[in-house]
Amino acid sequence: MTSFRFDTGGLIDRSSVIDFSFDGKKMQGHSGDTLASALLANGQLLMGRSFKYHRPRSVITAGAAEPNALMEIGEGGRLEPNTRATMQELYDGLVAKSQNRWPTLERDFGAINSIASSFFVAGFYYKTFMWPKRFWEAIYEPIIRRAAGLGHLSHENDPDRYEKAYAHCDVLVVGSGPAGLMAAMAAARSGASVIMADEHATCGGSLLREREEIASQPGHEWAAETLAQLAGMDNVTIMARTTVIGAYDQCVFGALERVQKHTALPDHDVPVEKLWRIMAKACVMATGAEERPIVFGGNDRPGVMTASAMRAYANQFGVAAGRTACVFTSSDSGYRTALDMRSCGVHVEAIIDARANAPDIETHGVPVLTGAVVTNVDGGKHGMKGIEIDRGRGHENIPCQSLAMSGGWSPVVHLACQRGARPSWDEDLHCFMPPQSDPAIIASGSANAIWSLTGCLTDGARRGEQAARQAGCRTMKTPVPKARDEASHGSEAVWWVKQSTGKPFVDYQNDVTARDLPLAAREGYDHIELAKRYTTSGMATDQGKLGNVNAIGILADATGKGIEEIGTTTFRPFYTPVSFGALGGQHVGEHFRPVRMSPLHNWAADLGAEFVETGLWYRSSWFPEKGDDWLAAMTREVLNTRANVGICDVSTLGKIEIKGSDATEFINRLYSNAFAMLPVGKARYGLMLREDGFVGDDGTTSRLSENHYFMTTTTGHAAESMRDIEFAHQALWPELDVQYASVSDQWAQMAIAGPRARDVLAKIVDIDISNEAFGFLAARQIKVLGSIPAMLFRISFSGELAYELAVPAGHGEAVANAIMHAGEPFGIGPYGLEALSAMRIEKGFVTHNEINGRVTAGDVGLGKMLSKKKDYIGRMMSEREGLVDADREQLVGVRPLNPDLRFRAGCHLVNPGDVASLETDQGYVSSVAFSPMLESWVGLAMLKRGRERHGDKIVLWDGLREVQIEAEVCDPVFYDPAQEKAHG
Amino acid sequence: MAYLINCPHCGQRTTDEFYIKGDASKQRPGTIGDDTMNQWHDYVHIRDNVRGRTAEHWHHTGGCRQWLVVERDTVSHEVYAVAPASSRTPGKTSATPARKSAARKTPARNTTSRKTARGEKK
Amino acid sequence: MADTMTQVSALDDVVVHGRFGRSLPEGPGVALSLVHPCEVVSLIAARGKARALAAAVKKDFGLGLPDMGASTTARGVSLHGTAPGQWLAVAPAAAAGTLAGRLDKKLGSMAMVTDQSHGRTVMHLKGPRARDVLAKGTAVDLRPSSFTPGSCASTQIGHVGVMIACTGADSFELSVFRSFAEGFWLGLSELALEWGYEVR
Repeated sequence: MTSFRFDTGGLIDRSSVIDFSFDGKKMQGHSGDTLASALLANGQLLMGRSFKYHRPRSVITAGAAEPNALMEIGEGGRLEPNTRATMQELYDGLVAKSQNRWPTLERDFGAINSIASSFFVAGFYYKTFMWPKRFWEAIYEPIIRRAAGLGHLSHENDPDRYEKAYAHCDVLVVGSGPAGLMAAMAAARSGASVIMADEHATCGGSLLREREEIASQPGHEWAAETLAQLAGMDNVTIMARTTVIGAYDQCVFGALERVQKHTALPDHDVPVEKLWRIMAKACVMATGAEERPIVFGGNDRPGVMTASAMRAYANQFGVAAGRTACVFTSSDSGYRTALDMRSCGVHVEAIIDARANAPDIETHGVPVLTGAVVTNVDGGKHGMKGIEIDRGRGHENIPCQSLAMSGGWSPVVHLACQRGARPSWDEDLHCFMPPQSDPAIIASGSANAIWSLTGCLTDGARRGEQAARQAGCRTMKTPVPKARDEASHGSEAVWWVKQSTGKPFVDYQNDVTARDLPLAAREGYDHIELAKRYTTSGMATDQGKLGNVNAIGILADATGKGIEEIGTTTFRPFYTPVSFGALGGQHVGEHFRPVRMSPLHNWAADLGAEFVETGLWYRSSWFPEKGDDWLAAMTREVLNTRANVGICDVSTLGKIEIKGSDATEFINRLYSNAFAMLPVGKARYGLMLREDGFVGDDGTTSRLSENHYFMTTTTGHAAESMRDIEFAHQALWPELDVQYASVSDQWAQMAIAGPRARDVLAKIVDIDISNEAFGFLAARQIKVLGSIPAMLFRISFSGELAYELAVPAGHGEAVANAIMHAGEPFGIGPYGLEALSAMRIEKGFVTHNEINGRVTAGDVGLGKMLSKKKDYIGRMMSEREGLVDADREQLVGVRPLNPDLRFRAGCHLVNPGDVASLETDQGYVSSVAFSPMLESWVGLAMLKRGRERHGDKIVLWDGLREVQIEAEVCDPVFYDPAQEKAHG
Repeated sequence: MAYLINCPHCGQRTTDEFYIKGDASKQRPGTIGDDTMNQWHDYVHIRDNVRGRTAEHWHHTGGCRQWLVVERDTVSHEVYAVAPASSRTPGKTSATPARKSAARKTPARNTTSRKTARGEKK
Repeated sequence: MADTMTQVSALDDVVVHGRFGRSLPEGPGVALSLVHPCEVVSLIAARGKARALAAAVKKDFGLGLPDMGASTTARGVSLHGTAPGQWLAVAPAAAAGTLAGRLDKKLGSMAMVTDQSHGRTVMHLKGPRARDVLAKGTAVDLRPSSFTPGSCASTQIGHVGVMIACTGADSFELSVFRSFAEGFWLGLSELALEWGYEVR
């Protein structure tokens, strides 16, 4: 009663021996086996337990549509659940485990579900587990969660690499069966560049599974020869082990290549999977057709499979589920299985033909019972004993060890339907035909409902020529070889055997039986999309490849509607599951997003800097000395900078060079404040609004000569600001003569700040930088260290006497080191982002913490920067009522009454005595720092009518940490309010 | 959304090289002043949510960094035209603005069965 | 005046010479090298001056001003058409700092000449698998039939902007913004592991 391997036959290489294990048992197979065929060869018919009822299951198919034989493959971080054993190439050292069973596949506790099965009909979970209410979270949900899902994850890191890539071609041929091979040949001979993809490791499609002949050779030999010819053509790329998973707009296809899923120890230099985006001009969809099961009692028992699967196992792999077989069919193609199995030495007991009349096919003595149906299967985890049939004379039993079922054929139409087109039902052929709405996707062969081999070869050649023409090539006629094939292709539709005595399954993977569909219709879910979701038919990892058409037929029958009227559910990519690894490709870990490094990165690292991520950048954040934590380091850096001198890397700022005869006018339209009269040699702080009137970004622009400007933006907003500048010129004012280029990476920029800053810089610059010669906001092109071209700006973000020096990035380190050396006698020290932030907060300078997209210039006390004399981006909207309302939140400083109490940005502000709520909310804290100068935690905040409330008491409310701190509202400039130090 | 865009400067590129700003059908008002507030409000805030043909401002950030106007169909994903933003007069699309009624050809759909009322007991 | 101090490259402590990745009988699939120092200058034509600019470039530098997506080379300087009215001039150089000055002197009245020699990192990728490596990152059609010597494209690889110029049957010049260079170099190297690569 077990499955077995024939002594001879099959396309496997019997001289090669492969060791693998299944559920801990050591087994052997051959090169060319799939895991499924090797298991059958080892007598392992039982391969899994079904999802809901835990019924014993084996393979139903030999290919991609397999719903039952789902395995966990691999160990540790490589563990992959839900792998179809029919698609898994056997390899040395393969470790496979069955799923959804406990403790073992043989003795599965979950089989108890089968006993209670009448309660587990479709929709049971909408009507159960509701009482008592409190049991849901504590009891029902945890139990259901453990029972749900198929397979499990290891939760270990995947050690392998994945990659993504692009490819281009004229014609993409999907499938390498007879139609695909001919299409590829025809397109290639017409000069088209061709990519032919097949999901299997060996190309040839159905020619590997059938006994037909082409050009007087076995089909698989003709396939191998044709393949060799194609491989030798320069304009042909063959992609085996590659599933075309999706069709996208404009003839773009997604394809998943299983590069190293057939080895226990992948080469780490090579990805295990590659996700391809293929840009084609035309596609020949030679994807074949899927044979449908018939829905009858016990059609899920181990030993029952589709008729074509039984042939595939016999012809390609030399294995069979049993030594005796029956065939249950409603089409002529079932007869072929009877004949093939007979040739292999399997005794065929009978052909049970549901139709009233048998076709005219020689069966060589195999009895044919017409007008007969199978109503149940006697079998279980150990295999089949026999079948129960009904041909109008009551139930009869036929002993047999396997059963082939042939319920008709469904063209694999997915790629043609994934962009919304629907297939159409053909009443004569009993199948859904691929839509023709997209001229670039051309169905061919049995994907186009052509069932004969001769037909497929001919159609493939025609369609290949058609595709080449579509791609703009001059076509050449391709000769079609002669084939010896079946003449007979009649069929009838039998949706389900209503008189079944056992459970008749429609969707194997989700355990949906035929009766679930009329139930859905009775409950009002009679639309196919609703019936699908109510019953879960078609919703498993196989996405209904075997069951959908049967489900449609049954629903049509139950509702009295036609099949065309019921229609199919929506097709969506992916055709078969794709791993997240493949979707991420090389963009994982360090490569998840690009990293940007400052030209002074190494300089800072050598000084012991700790770095922080700011967007894509790494910025030096603080420079610890002997055991400093960040607070100690920052405090030391601020005190030193304000007392002596400090140097800080500000290279990450956006920098834009602007020139042109209209440069001044252009800049004047970008900034809210006046720039038209900016003197040459001067810098000016500017605000750029968004067109809706809120502040977009701030920065400093310097006029280096009449029509030559150097603009800086913030680090975080640099990309958007550049884009906005380009928009303003190209889309709004293309008539302006202005040129601009990003020079952010061309210049290393450093701030030198503190009372001794001038003394330090004087040693390295070539100009007079006394206060008279180079006053506050001076900006000039200079030289440093003799010959290095540089720009010096007297601007201050710290509030100290300060300069920013820009030098070409490749000289950054040398210049920074020279400054450190020159500054030694003055006590120079580096300072990082923490210290820079603390100092600007002490000075009440705003950053994007305050400029957060909801804030106007007026809100942050910069209302005077909104010119009334010109149009600029955001001018009009900045004046609308809501943006000038007196009740708006305005920038203030906040100081806790107890200076040692730390609070966080994000705190809300509440009047003392009020309970914090949306109604009592007065605003929020936008920035916080420990101020070394005030020896207190301080913050900048946006407070309703804030400018009127200096001196008021306020409560800083932190709902996350459940902390409330009493504070005082004050001027946002905590330190040196007269701004004396910067002007010194 | 279309997968490919034919940038007039760079040729065929994938859409992930682009940044989409939004509707390009409105022209920035040429005058300022209190009496123009409504015009500005319309330019900045008011948009149609078009089912069908639209014109949008796209930026080829990953390529030539040029602003473009892309005319495309939000239903069929067809791209009709891509032109430099500077060459196009805003407010005048190259075809009549898309419309609410479904007079256009859509991909083959099973529309008949959709008309049956849902949830009705038979 | 010439900028004579040694210019530090963004890949100063990143480039490791040698052979890496898969060892195939046909040898490494690509060779990767840093071009440093290298002069890079951007040229943006002033409004209405494109024709005058083209004439001046021809006269003073012996170079044709290429169309968008094309490159021209003469006297050690290549010009790449990277955007309408915009070009990138690239000249691998022993002594950096003269090209921008020379270009500005002759062309400054017709174009904005901006030195980008420090702002860009230039690399060279060459070998039978060069196109395959690049195709892992960009959807630009880089097949020999479409992307021929003298072609260039501004595109992205791993979301990093890169200018790719085809300088020979199997050789390419790549230039990226300096700050992205380290991540780009390491990422590209990983994509070449499959066929083995050599760093010279």
